[in-house]
Amino acid sequence: MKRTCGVLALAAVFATGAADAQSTFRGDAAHAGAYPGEGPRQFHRVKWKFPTGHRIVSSPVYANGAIYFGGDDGNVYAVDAADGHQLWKRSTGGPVAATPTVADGAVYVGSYDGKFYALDARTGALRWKIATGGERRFEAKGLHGMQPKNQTIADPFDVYLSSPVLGGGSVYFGSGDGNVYAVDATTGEVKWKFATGDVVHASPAYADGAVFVGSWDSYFYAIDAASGKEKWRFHGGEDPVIHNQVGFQSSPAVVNGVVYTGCRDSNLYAIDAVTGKERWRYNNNGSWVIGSPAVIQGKVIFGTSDSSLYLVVDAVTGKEIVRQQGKAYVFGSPSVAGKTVFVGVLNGTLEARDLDTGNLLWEYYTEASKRNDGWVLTADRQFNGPLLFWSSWREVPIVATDRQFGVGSIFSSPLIVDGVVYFGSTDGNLYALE
Amino acid sequence: MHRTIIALLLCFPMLAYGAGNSPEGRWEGPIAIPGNEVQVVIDLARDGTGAWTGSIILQGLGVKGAPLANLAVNDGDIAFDVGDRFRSPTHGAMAFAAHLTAAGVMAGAMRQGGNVAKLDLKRTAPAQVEPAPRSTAVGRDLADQWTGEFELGGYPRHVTIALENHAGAAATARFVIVGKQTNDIPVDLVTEDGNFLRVESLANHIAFEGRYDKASGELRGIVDLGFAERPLVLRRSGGRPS
Repeated sequence: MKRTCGVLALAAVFATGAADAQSTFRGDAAHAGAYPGEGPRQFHRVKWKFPTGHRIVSSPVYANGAIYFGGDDGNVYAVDAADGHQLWKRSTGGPVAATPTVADGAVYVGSYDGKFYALDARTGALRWKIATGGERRFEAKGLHGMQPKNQTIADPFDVYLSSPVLGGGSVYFGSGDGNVYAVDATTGEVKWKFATGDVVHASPAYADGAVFVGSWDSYFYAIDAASGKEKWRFHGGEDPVIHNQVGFQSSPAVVNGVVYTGCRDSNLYAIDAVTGKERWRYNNNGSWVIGSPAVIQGKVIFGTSDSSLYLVVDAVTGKEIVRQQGKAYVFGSPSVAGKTVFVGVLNGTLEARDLDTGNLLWEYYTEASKRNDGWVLTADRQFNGPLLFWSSWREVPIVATDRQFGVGSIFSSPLIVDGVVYFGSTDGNLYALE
Repeated sequence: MHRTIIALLLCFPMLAYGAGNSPEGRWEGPIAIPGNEVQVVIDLARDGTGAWTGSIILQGLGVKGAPLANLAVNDGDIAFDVGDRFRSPTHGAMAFAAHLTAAGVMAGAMRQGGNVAKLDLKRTAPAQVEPAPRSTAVGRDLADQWTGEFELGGYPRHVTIALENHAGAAATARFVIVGKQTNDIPVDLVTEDGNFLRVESLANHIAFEGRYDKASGELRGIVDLGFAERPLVLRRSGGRPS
């Protein structure tokens, strides 16, 4: 009887209306970051929270009444959107720092174990999995000025894995082995691999029969989705000294024939999707643009790292429309629902801002950020850099970065469904706010 | 009687290094930062002129014998900060304020980044104040304005260092690096040690270190930016940086 009730409950969850625009990273294959309906203009309450026991970097997606996301505890989760109870979890061999895509009853996602999985969306059962050449973080000698300079150091800020996108029956994703993969969504057969020069942890966008994605080799690529042949490549900045200002960690948005992508060289680029020619760039004076920009109503919305800015620029000209000073690094991608923009901040704050003005409507502090263990944050919620990064030698900056992320940082791109905002936090919780 | 006093001092060493209302001595204990308790050692003593001086050790934070800045001792109240170390751009220096209790405890608070933690220290030993590093005078050949250039990230950076001796005192320096913007770097230390000249900004982790080459009249060395070192040759340019 108990088992029957469980089956019925599952059936009820998965029988509710599907919403394709919410079942992949950034809402759709082009990564516009726009979600149907309105988001909450005021904060009322925490509808529920789902603890996982380890940090969540992955962004939640929605399909048929369920929320799907990955955890750094190595599990892929399906949670009932209504009340936050667990529907199933499926373990992988490593942190799932990518965002799943759900389509045709399957959940597609990669793991730090170097495998890519297709799971049954109802049960979590394995449909197929393939092995890539293995995962790794971006690494370099003297990275970010860390010492010893002759030792290769893995980048603690390379937190995401590439999130898959579906198009034309294939699933596309990048890998730490430097390849972009096209895999048959039904069988798991690898159709093609496209080699870049370094780690690909950005998430490809799919539009007009092409796959768009940047690599840590400093190039951004347009690849023919059918053949895997390169259509064009665009060269971002280089930084041979400390490798701080190099690489495409940001995932692109492709809207109206233009590719919008952030870059670690501190630019936000607008690139012609057909020719690969630069249309404009917006420079952020050394601050990374890690998140995927949201593109809506002729506006490009994004955040910056060190300068902690919330920016809106004109999609055609790149001219600044809105500039709001935030408190801490923004790695997460802004999500738009109606007239409200939601963006996660690494100090453990979810911000809700007005689309037109950028003014803060409300903000929510994660539990860990309120505890502020080790004074990671100053009293006004900025990162307490002087106390954390007191040396560039050995493990100090690595430990400091890990501590920074201990305040419930929100790397996750918010998902908005039926007036509820869902996001993950490094405090281990998936939050549902309304 | 004399023997008795010596015996008392041996048995109760606290008596020998100023127990009571004087804060002189070595003070140790925890700073209750939530989730990251830090052990602190503070040494307080009077210098040859009778003025209070002190240094601090912060275990796990890389601080050994840093001089106390803005040290003030009034009756049983003690206040100081640790200068540029851990200085928050918006909240200022890491600062301590405490008082000696009747029980002989130094109780108070440490503030950093706008956060406040309790402090509860016990006197454990005589003071071992660490002398602060001091600038030296520089050779007459060096007391001049020097300019040079290094490359970083594909851009040239122009460096000007102006060294000045002061009668009966240590040298001072102005250190300016002009790249995309002009950076007038505060200099904490100017030292000439053997053949080496070092001009250092401790707070910014930036330094020039080089040797004077008499034949060429150049200062040849490196600029240490903390995250990278670059070769730098400085040539005499005279005058003062604008």
